[in-house]
Amino acid sequence: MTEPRGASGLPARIEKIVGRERADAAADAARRTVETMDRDNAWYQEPAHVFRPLTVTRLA
Amino acid sequence: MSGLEWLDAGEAARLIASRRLSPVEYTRALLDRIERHDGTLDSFIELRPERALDAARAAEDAVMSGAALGPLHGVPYALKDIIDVEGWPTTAHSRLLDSAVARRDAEVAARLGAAGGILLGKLSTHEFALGGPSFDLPWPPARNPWDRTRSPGGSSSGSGAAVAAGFVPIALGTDTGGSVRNPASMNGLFGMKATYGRVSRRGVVPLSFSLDHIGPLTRSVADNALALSVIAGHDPADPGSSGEPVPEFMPAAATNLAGVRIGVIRHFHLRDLTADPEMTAAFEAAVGLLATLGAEIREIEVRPLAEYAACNRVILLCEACAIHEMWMKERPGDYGRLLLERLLPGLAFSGVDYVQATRTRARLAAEFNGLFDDIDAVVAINNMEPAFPIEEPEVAEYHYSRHARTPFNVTGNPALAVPTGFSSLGLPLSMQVITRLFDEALAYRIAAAHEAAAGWTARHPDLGGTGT
Repeated sequence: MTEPRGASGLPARIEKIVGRERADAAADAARRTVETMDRDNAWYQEPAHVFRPLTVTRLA
Repeated sequence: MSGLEWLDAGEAARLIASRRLSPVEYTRALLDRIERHDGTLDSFIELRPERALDAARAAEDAVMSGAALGPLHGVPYALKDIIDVEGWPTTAHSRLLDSAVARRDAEVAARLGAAGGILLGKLSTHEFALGGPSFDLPWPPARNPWDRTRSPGGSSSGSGAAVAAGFVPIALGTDTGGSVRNPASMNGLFGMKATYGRVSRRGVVPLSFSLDHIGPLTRSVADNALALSVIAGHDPADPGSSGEPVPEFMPAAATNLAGVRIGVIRHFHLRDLTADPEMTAAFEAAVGLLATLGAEIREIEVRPLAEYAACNRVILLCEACAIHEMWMKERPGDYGRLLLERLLPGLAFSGVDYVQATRTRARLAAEFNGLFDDIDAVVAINNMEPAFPIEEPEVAEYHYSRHARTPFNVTGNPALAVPTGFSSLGLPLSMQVITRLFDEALAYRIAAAHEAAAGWTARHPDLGGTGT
């Protein structure tokens, strides 16, 4: 189940703890960052790190 | 022997191996200096003098018995307090971990110990390598030995302060958005963020799994190369660890750069941000010196700084919030104000934002590494300004993102902070040398040639008082 979000967009539980003003400021900072990032990736562009089952199972 | 505080680690190891320097005398001299001066610098969170002296006595016995000696035999060092040492607390400079005791050494701590190094203590950091400088934590923030009213940078703040102050010749820091190169810049040191995966992260408190690097801060290029040669190498316990062989990092002769093609990025500090004129002038003087030494200089352009910074920030904060999620919900009052403030935007990003950032990262890394078809190395500015007053929160916040370091956490390339001189206020200035993936040796070669010709590293901060 998705965690409920507060009015700021942050998780409601966190927003309640830090207060609406700080939550809004954080959400604004996140929005500005996302707007600056070039996300115009080609549909086939892989992420920088992908799941490597062999490595992960060796560590388990 | 006088002047032990400024002795290079490599030279100290040679003197110890040839029985001309006692590890006990050396360790005691540095402990005395820490005792005398760290009360106003706060670089150490925990110092264990008796343990260090016991280790020094054992090192001396080994020398006298003719045993095989490691490359750092009898040489003191210190660790940022997010690196585990068996039986010691790892606090991350936070209330949240103030009772955590490590059950085994981090890989880097084990390697330094196996090389014969003598651990003096654990060093101050920004809280969890992100929130600082802060005055609302159980320990005060470290201060800059060049001017105690100023920040030593961070997050490896104690690492930078302790090496610059002559407390240890080598300290380890960590670098996720520039946290080795920042204190190196503000303290007049060499600080290496090697290729992602070159140094094991096992046993180090994570900030962001895919961006975290561990690296040495030193007063000389040779010491930096020596320290990296000790801590580098594959570790099967770190899923990000590389299997690339570890070469000889320090070239035999490092005075000539003939044939080395160096790309200079100026738009980071002239267009994307505007650097302090003294920082810019020192950067241009360093580029001129590299040309005099035989390097072929050409101007290059890459993506704007803000694009790298945004990609770094989305990945860093999403991964950091995944690590901190439980504490943020259950113990938010135990965070320092600044760390909580810096983490919060991470909770506002979406899953799609994070995946897009990791895809963008792959693209930015491929683009940047394509430059090396035509050049061998890149130089760029480090901080936009020298060290800032530590007790003014607004000033600290202003300077927080005024640097050009995040591109190389995003791309994973080696990036070495190199001193370029001093401001009119006597504060250190710095640039970065960046090379191909896994070509740290070339970064050291360029830095060593510059170091020898520029001579900036002969200058040390005056801590006051007399003696060592």
